[in-house]
Amino acid sequence: MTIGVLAIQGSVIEHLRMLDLLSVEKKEVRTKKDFDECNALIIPGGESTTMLSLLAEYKLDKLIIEKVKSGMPIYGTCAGMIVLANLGLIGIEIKRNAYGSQLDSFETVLTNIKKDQLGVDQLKAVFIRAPQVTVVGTGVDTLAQYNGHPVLLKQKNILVSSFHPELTDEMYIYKFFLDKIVSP
Amino acid sequence: MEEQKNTYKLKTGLAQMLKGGVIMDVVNAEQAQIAEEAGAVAVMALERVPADIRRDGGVARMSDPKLIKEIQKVSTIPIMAKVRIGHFVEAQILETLKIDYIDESEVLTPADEQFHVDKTKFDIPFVCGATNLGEALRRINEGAAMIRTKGEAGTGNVVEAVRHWRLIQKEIKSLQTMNDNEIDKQAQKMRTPVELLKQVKKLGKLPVVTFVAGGLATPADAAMMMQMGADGVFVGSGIFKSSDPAKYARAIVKAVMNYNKPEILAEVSEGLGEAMPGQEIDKLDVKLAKRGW
Repeated sequence: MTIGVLAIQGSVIEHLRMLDLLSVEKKEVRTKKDFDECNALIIPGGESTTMLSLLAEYKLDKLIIEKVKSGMPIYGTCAGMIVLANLGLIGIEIKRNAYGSQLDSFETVLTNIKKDQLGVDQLKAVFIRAPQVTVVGTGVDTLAQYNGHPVLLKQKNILVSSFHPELTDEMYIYKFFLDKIVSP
Repeated sequence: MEEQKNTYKLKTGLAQMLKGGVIMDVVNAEQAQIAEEAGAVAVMALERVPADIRRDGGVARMSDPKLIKEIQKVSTIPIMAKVRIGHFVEAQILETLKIDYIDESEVLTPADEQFHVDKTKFDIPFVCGATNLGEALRRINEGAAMIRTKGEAGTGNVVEAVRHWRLIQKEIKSLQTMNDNEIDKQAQKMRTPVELLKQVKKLGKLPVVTFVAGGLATPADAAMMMQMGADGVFVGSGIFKSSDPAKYARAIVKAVMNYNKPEILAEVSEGLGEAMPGQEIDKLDVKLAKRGW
């Protein structure tokens, strides 16, 4: 079992570190060959415009679409969520930089979460120039909300969060991804 | 629900999201759009690129808020802007404009010969330049959430960026063999808190994201700095002083992503047109890197 982290740019080492702490095999992913060696993928935080344009440049966007449609588990954090929505893989609509500039970035503890699925009743969350989910389509399960907006969602093999678990010391979301989506 | 804003984690966190990326100097909204389309992770809004500041001479100051607002209108990526070293009122002004990061920069003319801005007093995060480890740690101790090596801006000559980067790495490495007594001595010498130095010893790197800046002009320059371990690069005059900025900007972005693949670097370096004109460091009238301490 190898979890890949898309390594175009962004919080790559932060995700790799979390996978390390969970003793999971991990891999930086930049090429088709890298993709083929992974069972699941995390798209990190970063700048979604940069990631999307470089994914398209190297035709990795088509590869992600193909892999995810054939069932590969994938988790996108912040920019990663925007990328997955942009590739049409998850049925949500998103407003970028919805909270404002960096001065509106915030840390909080989420309490409006689905405890039965996540196994905890609160989650630390770091929102940095975060996007907001404005429309949730059918088949998409909202696992956590903040101030009335969905911030953690799941659709089949796809998990997305508008915040950064990789900047906290909590493993809950990773464990959820691994136990409930990667190898249920 | 309790919400905490402007914490140090959020300040350093944004820099973490920029890693592996290119931050480009832009002087108007049109250039900001070119930079974003090329795949920049952030733009640095300023009135003149360093090469022009160097050519024109005189006092270089914070940009006109009008220019920053115009760039804000067209950009979806983070916006940075520069204040003069020690000019805390320019910093207050930029903070009210709600940009994303302030660069307290030696490229502008210093406003204070004794004190850098007390960055702990601000909600907005700061990036600061450094030429060596002590300087980097003094800036971090003042609240900087990101460091960039100074290099020598506006020269199109990468040699100073390489020198500053290598020196910082060498100084970090030499900490590894020091005992507590020696770390104490080193902290005094560097005028930095001993705890900060111990943290660097433990991490084997600076505790904040560290980009390289100052004189990078080509895709190969950017890739070289990435191979040497930089978290990302600032490219100032290099892009918009080249003959085909859009193509050049894209080539540098691709080079940073593929910094370890010479065959892709060869491909992106081909047919780029004229790079910015370069200058020998020892023929310069003003060495910007000497500003700040």
